[in-house]
Amino acid sequence: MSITETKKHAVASYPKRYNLERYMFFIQRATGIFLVSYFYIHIFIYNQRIDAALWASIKTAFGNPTMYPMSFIFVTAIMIHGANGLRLILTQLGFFIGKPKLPVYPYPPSSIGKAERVILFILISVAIILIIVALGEFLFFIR
Amino acid sequence: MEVVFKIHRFDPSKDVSPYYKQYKITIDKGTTVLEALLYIKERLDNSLAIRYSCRMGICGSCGMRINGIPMLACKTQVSMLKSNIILIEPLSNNPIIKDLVTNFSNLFAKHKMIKPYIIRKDSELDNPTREYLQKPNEFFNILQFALCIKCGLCWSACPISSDNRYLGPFVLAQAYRYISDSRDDGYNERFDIIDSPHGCWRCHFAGSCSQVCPRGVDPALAIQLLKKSITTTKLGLKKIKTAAPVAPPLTEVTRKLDVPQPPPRTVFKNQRDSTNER
Amino acid sequence: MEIIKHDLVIIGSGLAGLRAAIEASRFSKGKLDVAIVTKTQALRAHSVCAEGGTAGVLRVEEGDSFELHEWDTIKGSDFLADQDAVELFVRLLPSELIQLEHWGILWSRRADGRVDQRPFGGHSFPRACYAGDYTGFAEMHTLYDTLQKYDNVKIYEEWFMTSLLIEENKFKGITAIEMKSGNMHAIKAKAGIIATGGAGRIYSFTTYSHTTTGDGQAVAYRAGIPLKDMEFIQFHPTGLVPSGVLITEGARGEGGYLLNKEGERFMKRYAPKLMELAPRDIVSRSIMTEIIEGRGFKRPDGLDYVHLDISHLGREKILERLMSIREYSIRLNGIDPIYEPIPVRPAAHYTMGGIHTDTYGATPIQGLWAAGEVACVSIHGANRLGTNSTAECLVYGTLTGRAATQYALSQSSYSNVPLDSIQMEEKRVFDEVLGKEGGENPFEIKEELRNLMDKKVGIFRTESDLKEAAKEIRNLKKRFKNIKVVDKSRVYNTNIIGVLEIENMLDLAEVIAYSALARTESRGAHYRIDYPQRDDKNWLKHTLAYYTPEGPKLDYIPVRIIKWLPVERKY
Ligand SMILES: Cc1cc2nc3c(=O)[nH]c(=O)nc-3n(C[C@H](O)[C@H](O)[C@H](O)COP(=O)(O)OP(=O)(O)OC[C@H]3O[C@@H](n4cnc5c(N)ncnc54)[C@H](O)[C@@H]3O)c2cc1C
Ligand code: FES
Repeated sequence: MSITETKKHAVASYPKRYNLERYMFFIQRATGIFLVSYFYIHIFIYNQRIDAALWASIKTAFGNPTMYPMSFIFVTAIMIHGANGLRLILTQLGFFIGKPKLPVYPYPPSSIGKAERVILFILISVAIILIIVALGEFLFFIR
Repeated sequence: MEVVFKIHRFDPSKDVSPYYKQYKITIDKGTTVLEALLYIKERLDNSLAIRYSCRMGICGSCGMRINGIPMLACKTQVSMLKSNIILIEPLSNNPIIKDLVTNFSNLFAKHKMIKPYIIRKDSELDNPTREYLQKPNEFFNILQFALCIKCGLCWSACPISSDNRYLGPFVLAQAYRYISDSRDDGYNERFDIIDSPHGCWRCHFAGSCSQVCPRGVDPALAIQLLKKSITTTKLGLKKIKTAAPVAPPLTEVTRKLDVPQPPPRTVFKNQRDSTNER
Repeated sequence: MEIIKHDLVIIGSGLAGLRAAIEASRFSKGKLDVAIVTKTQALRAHSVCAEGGTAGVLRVEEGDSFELHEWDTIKGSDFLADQDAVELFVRLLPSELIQLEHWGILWSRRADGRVDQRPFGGHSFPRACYAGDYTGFAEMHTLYDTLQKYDNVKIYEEWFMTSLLIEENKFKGITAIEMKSGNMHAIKAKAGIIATGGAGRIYSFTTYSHTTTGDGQAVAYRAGIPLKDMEFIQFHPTGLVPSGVLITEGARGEGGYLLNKEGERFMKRYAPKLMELAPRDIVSRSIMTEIIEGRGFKRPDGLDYVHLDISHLGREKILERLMSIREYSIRLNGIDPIYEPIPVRPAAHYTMGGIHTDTYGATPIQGLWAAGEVACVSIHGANRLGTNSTAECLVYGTLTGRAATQYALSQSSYSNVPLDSIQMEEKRVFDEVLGKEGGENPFEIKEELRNLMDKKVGIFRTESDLKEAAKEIRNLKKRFKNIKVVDKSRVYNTNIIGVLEIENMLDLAEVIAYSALARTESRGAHYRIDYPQRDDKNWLKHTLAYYTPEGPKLDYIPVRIIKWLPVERKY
């Protein structure tokens, strides 16, 4: 809820959708599940008795440019998951979420307030920059 | 202004599955969603079931999802929703009793689990003499959380609440409110339930509880502070607080007030009933 | 149909009900089997709406005294209060307030950490303990939370009491509808406490919750218990226009002004000494006089108003002490009181009358007590002082809780409940009321009743208006026989609950109109234009209304005066 405070008329308005952090929660879940399954598949494959021929074929398969998007998604997921995870660790230890205070209508919550948003944006921006760098690398390889 | 209310209807005694029914009504500028629903209930369809009472946003009865977002119906103006079709649904994550009414007994039972009362060892607690002292900073430390009306909007908004064993935002906020109360001494007694897998660690800080809270309680803040508190306790860094002392007698009178005296008695005990006539 | 057994049944989970339940548990050391029956969820009772504060003598060092509080209360009541009850009440209050503090309520504090108190209308000393402007809410939640300590209390949430089971002047139990399943149950108990709150929803412009429909009074009335002093309905001077949401008296206690159209602080003409902080009956009449004489602001829907200005108090004070009323005015009216005056007019606010009880809250029925707003002890007489009613709920919750516990523990066995009256009640509700197939919409009758009461039994009353009202109510009652109940389902049927409430409201409205018609004087909140003087010779007595099928039968009992004889009431 937000409120426009003018001298004469104060008007409250209501949210039309949920907050950003809630979407981040779902993204965190999705990337988390993806990464964990990736990790398991990875461990699984490396735990197989692989003879040299099979190993060579796996290597060529992953060396093939058609597999680059897959790796790119992997990198993206790591970046987002890592950046958001860093924010979660910080906030859950009590940083950037403000202190309890006298609530003033329309009661903007401090836990998802300015400080927390700034951290979120900074970390996500860093992640996005890294993703773009990675994208450049991949494109370079593809060419 | 004409708007269409699309309302979730479900009567378990006769409907197989929920359906939506539409009502077209005219509203004024200041009409709240609750007023509109009551108009529908009293004039168009008496059978609509809603839970409501105070109509001023303090009793916590009228929580529902309005266009998808949990809100208090009495606290929301229809015209401010800026939409001509208004979707009204019951709160999610609670079993539905009928139409817009959901069952809260699970939530209240959890509220009881965190021991939401002052725990102290002294006999003063039940034999009051004078107030316990409470400094302004101690007061503002918990005031925000004490404003919770337990309307369940946070529970409905929380993406984790579909896990029914999770204590939930407002219950945990109350836990924080009581363990941080300067008068309370029950941190250890509540520690295990808060520290459990279904306690504060189940929260992943989606923050929507705080977004939808109509009272500015900010449950997400309380839960993160709980996590911090538990972490510092486990690391042995937590400062142990002592419960607030009783205020000393007031010796220094700081306020000078011009207080009138009551007039002298005009009836005395032995004269009792003498003035009564029948 | 199921018969449930408990030692003590408390009907109502407002301040009075919760306090009584805690006291019963505490006093019996958790041995007594207590049930709370409430038609809302337990912590949604109307008491959460109380805003301003709770009175109590805490600062004797600074000049307050029990006598002064007593005198204020008695003078405020226009000398209709029973003075022995007031004496008892005032003396028990301070420990209640401190007890609440120990249980965790966040009273607003002074800088040194002690409980702060604010001035309130009619009190000569600032003695209202307050929690911002959400006092009732804070008290309710503190009591509800404290109740969670005890495992001997079972709360029946959303159970609607329909009748009292009384045999040979002895309380046997109650019948109630479980809304979730739609079944009627009987709860048999050794003792009972009624704490169902006021009846203010009978009026249309009101500060009350939707659920305060006076069920307790009506049910007791039909069970043969007399209702006392029902003609005294308090109108709070400052209800927010047009919703009726309360703007607390605390706003004036903190220093707010009432202004008319000319920007004049008109209270100087009516109560030169106390100004805005005169008792509510006086301020309400003053506002209405201003409006009637054309010095109010006009509204097309007839809800003319005056201004309540708190902008000079400063942002800090408003944000800290009056935060909810700021929220209400922004949210409901788009007005921020930090900058702008609030539109207000008098609204029905408190039922001074209620179930007839003695000084200790006991009704004439053995084993049945009444506490809180539903009872009329009478402490408030003809006009309640602000902050005295949450106080009453606390004190009388404790007193009745303890008395009922003692009584219940002394009764060795349950006596049998009258089965035929349970069956009759079940038949009445589910066959007669639920089966109604007439042509009238019950909610329209309710609307008409409420408008009628506002117009004809309001702040200023005359004989002709009251007579007309009484006739109109009879008429509505007749039409009520011909209603249609649309929802035939048993599950959470708010339709039938609504209808039962309307039935109660009609009965009470009739009592109010008849009692008011009979009292040919002006006293406290009851103001008769045709009899503008107080008449101590003939009317220093309480009205008792008894149920008869033809309408209320009135009787009178004397006021207990032990300290001060009535004098002229001037502020
Ligand atoms: C807006 C407002 C502000 C106020 N501010 C103040 C203030 O500042 N200071 C002050 O001292 N007083 C104030 N009052 C008055 C005070 O709040 C009430 O008098 C007091 O709260 C009444 O409490 P109660 O426990 O008697 O009843 P309530 O709180 O009204 O509780 C009634 C209970 O009975 C139950 N019930 C009712 N009917 C049935 C039924 N048929 N079956 C089962 N259960 C039933 C309800 O569910 C509810 O739980 C205010 C009142 C209003 C309207
Ligand atoms: S009706 Fe009480 S919160 Fe909406």
